[in-house]
Amino acid sequence: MREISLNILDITRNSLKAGAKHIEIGIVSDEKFLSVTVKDDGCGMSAEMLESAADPFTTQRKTRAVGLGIPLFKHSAELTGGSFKITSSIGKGTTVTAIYCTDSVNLMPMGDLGETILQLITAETGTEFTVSVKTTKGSGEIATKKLKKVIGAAEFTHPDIIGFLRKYLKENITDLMEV
Amino acid sequence: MKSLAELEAIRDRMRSQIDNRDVLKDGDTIVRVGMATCGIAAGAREVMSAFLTEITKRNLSGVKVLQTGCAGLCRVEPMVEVTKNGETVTYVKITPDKVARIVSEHIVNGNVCTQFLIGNEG
Repeated sequence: MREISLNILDITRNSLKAGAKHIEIGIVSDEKFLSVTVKDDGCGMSAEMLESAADPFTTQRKTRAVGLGIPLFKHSAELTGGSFKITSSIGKGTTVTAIYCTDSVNLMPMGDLGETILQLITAETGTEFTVSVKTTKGSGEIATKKLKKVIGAAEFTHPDIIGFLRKYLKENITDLMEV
Repeated sequence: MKSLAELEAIRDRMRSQIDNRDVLKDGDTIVRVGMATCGIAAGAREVMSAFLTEITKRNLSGVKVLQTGCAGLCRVEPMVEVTKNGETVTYVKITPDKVARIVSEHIVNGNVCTQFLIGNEG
């Protein structure tokens, strides 16, 4: 995973797999740190599962015995001198937080976060997403609940809407990133 | 500056438009892009972007682009399944430059791109 946004995409797919109906993605950055939070209301994990979640040989999938998403995300943050935390509760959901030190040479770029969010909201219209970002460049947010007050979920995949969302996300999300 | 007011305007224009867009016949086409860790690491996000770009460029309605999990064939990711007219094919090792072909030959004109099918990837 060469971009933070790809890690976010990967971990959000986990939330969707866990049956989340609401996913909140938060990015906060200042001069020294960048924090990324992915919070869901999916099925959550037991204390036992949580303990081994960051182990590459722990996975929910049946196709392979390896699950690299969480370990790669964790590694990407810790490599910069940052930190990684997962909290979870069965039946309530899971929250993953990665904190990066932005002055580290090991910091990977954020990449196109807006495009990443676009893909999630157009592919998963049955889930509500709230994405908020706050950096030294400003604040931005997108909430599918608010979008659905204007257009129907079925219209999300219309070419005109995709075109609009791409630009909206670029201005309100991608352009605010500092890394 | 894009705002939700602009979205309202697009919606109104969309809904009142006489249908002169490039509408696909025979119902919705569904494109499923593998977006598990293996797919993402192999470049699936850029592949999905290319599909969305083709949709906006060609003004195609009736195409849904979805994300799926790991199929267990990680070495041929990015994988893309296309379901059209009840028939599903699996394309493997797809890159953004192959997407335009899949859209014009298969999705618009109904001819499967046999060179991208699993087993033919070389």
